[in-house]
Amino acid sequence: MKDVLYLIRHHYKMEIRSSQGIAGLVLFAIASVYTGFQVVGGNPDPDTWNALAWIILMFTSFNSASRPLPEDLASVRTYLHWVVSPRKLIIARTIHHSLILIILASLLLFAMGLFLGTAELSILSIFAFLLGMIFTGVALASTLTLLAAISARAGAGYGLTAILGLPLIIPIILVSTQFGSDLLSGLTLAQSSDNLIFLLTLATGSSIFGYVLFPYLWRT
Amino acid sequence: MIILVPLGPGLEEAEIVKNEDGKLVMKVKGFNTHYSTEEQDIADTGKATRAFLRESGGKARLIEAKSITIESSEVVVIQWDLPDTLPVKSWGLFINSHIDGTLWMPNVLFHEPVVLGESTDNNSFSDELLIESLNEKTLGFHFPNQPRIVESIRNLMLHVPMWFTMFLLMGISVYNSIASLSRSGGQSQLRNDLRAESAVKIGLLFGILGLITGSFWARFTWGAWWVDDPQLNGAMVTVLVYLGYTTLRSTIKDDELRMKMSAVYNIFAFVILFVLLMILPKYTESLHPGKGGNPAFSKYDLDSALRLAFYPAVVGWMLLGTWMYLLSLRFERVKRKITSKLEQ
Repeated sequence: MKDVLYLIRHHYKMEIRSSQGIAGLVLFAIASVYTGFQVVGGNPDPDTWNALAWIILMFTSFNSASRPLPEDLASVRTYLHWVVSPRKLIIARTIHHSLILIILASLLLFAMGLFLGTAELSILSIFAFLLGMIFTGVALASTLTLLAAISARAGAGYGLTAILGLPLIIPIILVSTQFGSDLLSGLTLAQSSDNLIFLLTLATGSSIFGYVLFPYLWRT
Repeated sequence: MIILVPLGPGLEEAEIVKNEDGKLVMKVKGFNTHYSTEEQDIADTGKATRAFLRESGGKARLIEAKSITIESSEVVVIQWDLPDTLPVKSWGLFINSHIDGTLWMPNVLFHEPVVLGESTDNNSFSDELLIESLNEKTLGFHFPNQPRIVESIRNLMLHVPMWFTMFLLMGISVYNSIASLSRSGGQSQLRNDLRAESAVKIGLLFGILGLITGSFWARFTWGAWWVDDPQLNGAMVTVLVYLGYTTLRSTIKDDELRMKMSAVYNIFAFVILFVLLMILPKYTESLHPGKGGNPAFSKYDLDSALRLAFYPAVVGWMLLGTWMYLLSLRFERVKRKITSKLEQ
């Protein structure tokens, strides 16, 4: 546990040290929202709003997952191989990645509200929507972390993460968009909580897979 | 066999020609029916063709037709005398003939100008015991005629076994992937890896064939080549995931690394396949038979004739798939041997 916390702190430090990585992600999200604003104008209809929110979150998560990490360098990997267990590393990575996506999702929703309005959501529903985005972020992070590790080991980078990842995250996106359109059509969080439970199940399942399978990727 | 076995008889269309003053005339078009006026045919069974209107729900009372004119083997014109008061508005149609047995079509008549109530004249309704005096089906081996599905029922022997075969092959593949991760010793691991790859290739072929046959069936029965449906989304995602697997394999050059990466991804993919095709559609709304509260075919129309063709079809496709997999495996082994020889 201590090791995991240390690793998360280490990841966090690395983000701060080379802050262009996270800055690029934020810029990507905000620029996408702004492009949406330019195309559809101030207050799009709820369906467009919903679609924009999830598509931008999806691509942000892809960008975030497929950033080259220093650990994927052969020399660093050999070092880490001796000092830390791969299971702890994947837990730390998944949590770190989820945290980043949670921050990005909040920023994204803020930017959406600023440029594209709130699609007539009540204050309570906006927080429910944010909750949905956070759950989606966690589910995406737990799926994409393993896939990004695979494509980093394969040495193929962004393209391969997309090929491997896009089909696998379609279920997540389907559930999230359903959740979003439920909220937009006036349902409350409680009425649509099935979707959140399902997202959580997907996240848990993917995390367990990462936990079990990651050591096989790590071993050389 | 899939093409040659005739489809059983069914009723296709019932057109009301005249409905006034208690006189009802209906022109009924059948599909693969065998109405006949031949004296010999009737003499064989001793029973002529009869038609009834059947009360929808309730006591399911029957009104026998006054006269039946057989125009051809597939078209009959039927005439009824309706009583003044009827217990319900909605009626179904039964036609009983000596070859086809009893054919049924629901809700052919919504009798609007009607006094609802129990008729005082009970003679209008046929005796329930009459069922026993009807003709039994004397038709030979045939597939059942289902409304809307009609001739496309034959697709059952192609579409469904193809997915079964894909499951079998992906199962073989994931078994070998797990084996290749858990074993140590380079050579046997690589052998497992080769098996996993060949199985995925052939399984993918069956998956794509399943999508194509499914798409044709959807066009025929639902009216569109592709619909937004959990089962269909799941099938498409599955095929994409396995295409990802083949892409992943083609990007990695090193044998051992490729074995590990693709095995990890394959295990992930198989679980996704299972969740998307077997679990998820059962709990969501779906048009697909067997999913989302719909009964599977077997519940209501996989009759004995269909079973006789369906089960061998499943076994046959699975054997064909396994044979193709073994062939592809041998091909890959030879290819690998030749390349390693060339490299020396």
